[in-house]
Amino acid sequence: MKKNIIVACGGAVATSTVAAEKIKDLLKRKEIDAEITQCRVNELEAKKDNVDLIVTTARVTKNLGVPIVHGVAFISGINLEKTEKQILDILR
Amino acid sequence: MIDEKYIMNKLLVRNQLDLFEKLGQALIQDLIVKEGFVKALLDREQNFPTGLPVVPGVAIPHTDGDLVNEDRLMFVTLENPIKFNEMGGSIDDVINVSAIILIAISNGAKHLSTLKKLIASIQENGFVNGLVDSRDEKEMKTIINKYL
Repeated sequence: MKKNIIVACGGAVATSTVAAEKIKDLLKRKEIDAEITQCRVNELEAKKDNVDLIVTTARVTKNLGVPIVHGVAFISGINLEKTEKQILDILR
Repeated sequence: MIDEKYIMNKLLVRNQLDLFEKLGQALIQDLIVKEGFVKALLDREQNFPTGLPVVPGVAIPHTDGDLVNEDRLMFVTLENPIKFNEMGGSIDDVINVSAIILIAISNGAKHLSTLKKLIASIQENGFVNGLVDSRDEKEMKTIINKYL
């Protein structure tokens, strides 16, 4: 079944775009069918319905009832494999 | 967008506020950015920190584009590292930052393409540590030209 993923950042949807592109590549490599949308973290509450995974490059403290992965590794390159594994574990 | 004037080696600052005031005022004085830029940097950093946990630590402070008159990137290394919070991390995730790349770009699409290029460079071995190891602005410029 197609998965729904939101990639969110704090401001003008810049870092989330970088992360989203890398997630898209990852899912393609692993042959996971997913729809990726982007928003600001303050829009998550309104957009979280039917979402399987949220990846953020900005801090989210609220429990949204959706698994959240901290996506700074897509920006820093540090611990990237660990972050990729977290994402794949949630989607599989 | 890259201007020698805004490459600074071993700048001495006490903390983030001091850093943003020094960098922001330089840009405001030159009319590169509008008044309010320093506060916008501080507010943004408070809510959405930009420290990246590479070694040595680097931060990429920026604001929305509406305060920017002319696009510039500022490259600064610090005499003494200062604390930044980690991008997307909890308040306990503190990074000692030795290099700052300040992004002042007015247009969203250009901000994004520049950010992408910067991030790719930051992930390359040799860019951030090359900047931090530079003894002067000229060496920094050589590194910037090589990796960006």
